[in-house]
Amino acid sequence: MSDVAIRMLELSKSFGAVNAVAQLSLEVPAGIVFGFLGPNGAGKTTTIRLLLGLLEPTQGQAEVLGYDPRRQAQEIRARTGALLERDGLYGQMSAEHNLEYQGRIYRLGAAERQARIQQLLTHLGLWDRRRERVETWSKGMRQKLALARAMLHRPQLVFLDEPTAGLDVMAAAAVREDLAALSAREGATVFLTTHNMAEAERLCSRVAVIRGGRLLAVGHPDELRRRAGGLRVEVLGRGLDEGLARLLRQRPEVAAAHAANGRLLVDLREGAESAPLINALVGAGAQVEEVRRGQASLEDVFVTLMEEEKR
Amino acid sequence: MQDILTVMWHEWRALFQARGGRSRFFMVLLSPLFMSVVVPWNLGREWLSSFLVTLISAVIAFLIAGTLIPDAFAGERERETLETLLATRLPDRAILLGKWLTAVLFALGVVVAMLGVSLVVANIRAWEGRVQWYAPTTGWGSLALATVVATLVGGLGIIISLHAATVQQAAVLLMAVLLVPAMALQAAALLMSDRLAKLLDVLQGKPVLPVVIGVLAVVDVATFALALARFRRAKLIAS
Repeated sequence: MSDVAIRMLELSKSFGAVNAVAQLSLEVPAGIVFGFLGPNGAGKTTTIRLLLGLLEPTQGQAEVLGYDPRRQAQEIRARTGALLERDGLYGQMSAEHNLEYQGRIYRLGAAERQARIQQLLTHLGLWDRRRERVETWSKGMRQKLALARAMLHRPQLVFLDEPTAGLDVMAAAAVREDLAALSAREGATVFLTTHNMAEAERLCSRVAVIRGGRLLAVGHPDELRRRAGGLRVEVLGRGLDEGLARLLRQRPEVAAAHAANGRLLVDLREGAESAPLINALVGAGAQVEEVRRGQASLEDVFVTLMEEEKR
Repeated sequence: MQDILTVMWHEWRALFQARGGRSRFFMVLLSPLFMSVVVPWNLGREWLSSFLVTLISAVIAFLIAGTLIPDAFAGERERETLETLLATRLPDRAILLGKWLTAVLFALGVVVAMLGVSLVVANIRAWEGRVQWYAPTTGWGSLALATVVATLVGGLGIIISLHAATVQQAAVLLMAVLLVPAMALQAAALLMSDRLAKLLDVLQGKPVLPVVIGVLAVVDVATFALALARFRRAKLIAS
């Protein structure tokens, strides 16, 4: 198998005047959990549809597991699993039927099918409820089942489109745990779209950030944190408003700064010191009560990238 | 072939196991059951060679296929399962044929059951010491006509269902497509009753049924080709 599971070269998709995906060039290494991050409407779902051959690109090329989605979509779909925007489960049918259907679609033998269904449902804690109609289940349970369905035929590559969207905190954490365990055990490449940074941080060994269909950054989460300045300073006190944030943004050592809830969040560039910054704030009339320093989280990186993109 | 059977397996189970599936099944069977008892009871032996058998078989095939087929794709879209289905390895033909054949075979199954029950009823009503069978042209003609009618209704239903937003919309459109030409024909027959009578005289004794079946079979093939041509995953997701 190639070292690269997905390759996109200037991949674009337009719907009329709207560019859903714009000249996206990206490589996803095989065997990792790859996070595809972006706000709602960034083009994440469209990208998955393009890679699965469910949509035709307007221009550019892609290669998934060595196949061209335009001409060899069938080959791609035979080797991939997908949990799309909607869970796609047959609510009026049992959990067992939903998995059985998937197993038959992917031509697993009867014995293998049964063993695999039992293995996955047991792992996800759903085995005892396998004969219940899925429509009676909570959203979290349905997402787990949809995850099992995507993994059932041991695909080389799994597309997961916002698997924890709309779940409560506990359910999302449970799905995340299951996803981490399953991806580690199955050894499949996972292409995970999300706008949940904690999720990406927890699961992904490489992430790409897109907005408006355009790639803003790609790399290991640590690498992105460093690129975004590495050091984040949180200033608490009085008079810390957007005017001061604007003042800080003019300084060369500041990568990003914004005011939120009476505090200032400042991302410093590599090697920059925070002391001159605090002096500048005090000089501008701010009453600084506390300064906290720390590594930028992936969420900070994301916000920074979004702000830079807006500017 | 295995893929077609897989889709049919799912469709079949969905038909019976889905909530309300069994009661819907019995509701659908009510009118065929009524026709397979009441009419042959009244006609007795005459039923076994009557053109009514062929006509009723075609009507039943029409109704059953027309009831089931709107759900094929519009139902998947309404239940938000369509995109996941399209993202699987199933080839276009397997999805299309699996859903189509389920409706056609179910309709034919009901027609065969109706023919069987009515055969028993007619024999009980006019027992002559031995079992009497359908006249060959009646029996085989009924099955053949029911097959091409169910296939045609299924095909048109699939084409409509492919892009309908809901099952209800697909059902209404299908009925409009099927009933409007039928009503137009009836109106034409009423307006030109003299010419129709002459035409029927001319056709008397001619093999009309095989010709009708042949024409419908050709239309069936064309409908399948059209349905396959209209089955584009990108368009199904966009619509």
